[in-house]
Amino acid sequence: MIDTQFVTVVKRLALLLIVLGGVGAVGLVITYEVIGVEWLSTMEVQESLRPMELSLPVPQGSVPLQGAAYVAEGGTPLNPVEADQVSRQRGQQLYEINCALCHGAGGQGDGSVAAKLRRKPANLTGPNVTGLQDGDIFMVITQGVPGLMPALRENLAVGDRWDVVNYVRTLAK
Amino acid sequence: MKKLTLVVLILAALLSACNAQNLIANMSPYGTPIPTLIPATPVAAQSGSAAQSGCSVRAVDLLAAWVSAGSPENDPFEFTDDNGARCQGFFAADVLPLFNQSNLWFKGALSCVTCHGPDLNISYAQLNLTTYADLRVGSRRLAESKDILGGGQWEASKLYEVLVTTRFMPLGRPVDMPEKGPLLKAGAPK
Repeated sequence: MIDTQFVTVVKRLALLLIVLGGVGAVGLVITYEVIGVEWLSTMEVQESLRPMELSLPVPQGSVPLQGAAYVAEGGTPLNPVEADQVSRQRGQQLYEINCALCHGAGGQGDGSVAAKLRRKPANLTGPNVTGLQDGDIFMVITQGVPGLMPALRENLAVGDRWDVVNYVRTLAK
Repeated sequence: MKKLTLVVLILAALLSACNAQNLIANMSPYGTPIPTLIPATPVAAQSGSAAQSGCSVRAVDLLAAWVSAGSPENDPFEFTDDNGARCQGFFAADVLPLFNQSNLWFKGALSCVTCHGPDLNISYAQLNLTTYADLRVGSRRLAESKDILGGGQWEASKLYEVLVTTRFMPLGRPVDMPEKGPLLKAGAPK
């Protein structure tokens, strides 16, 4: 007796679910296909950056993980990295990857693409560079020179840039 | 039994915490570590007694005062600071840094001597801004030298033209750079 009642209840529930499911499915099809309601089906709906869009500005007062490169408008930064063997060696590796193409392996401004450039790359062994402070060279690597040299701040981390400065210092010797 | 489980759990948590600490201590950053972390809001370069005794002046106003005073090398020159006080400055301490300091005119600015260096063959405009004597000689030195100081008349000078009229310099100046350059601590009250 109890079994029969239980089976009836289950049957009714199943029927109810089927009916509700059917109605729901038809509703979904109508809203999505016929009415064209935009369901949250893609990530594009949320606030996001499209390709080629500028990235969000860095919040005020943020400090990069590696530390700020210099104090804004604080004058030429001082070299915080000792020019030891390790730093110069690292600097040489980074120099050969990032700089030698234009400035040449010896820093004479005679890299393999220098001949193609209208304004020749700087001779890093000449007085115009050797007369600069470490921080000036660091700033050139960081900011580039408008119209002449690309900024390398995204290619080289702060410490890497100082390593390159320490290596560039050895080129003139 | 429950107490034993609790003790084991606490021990496990402690062990994993120690492990994490060791892991952090042993992590070596790639490349040369940065020895100095500059705080997000650095303290002003000159403050306290230095700020009280020094004068605040816009870079272009300072240059104008020096040029108008006849561009002296060792003698002091007078200028009026931003608060209207009479002050005096010297070439080596107050004017030369405008030419040979990076990151002074605006955030990330290159120093003038980066392009206007001693090797006239490659210096822009054949202009050398590294020393007083070279500044006085002027630009286009491989041909007939041109005075950049306007013979003591600031508004007639080449410096005025590139800094104020055409705003061609300092190279890469951002649009929001103040018209007369940054506010600097320079000189001393007279």
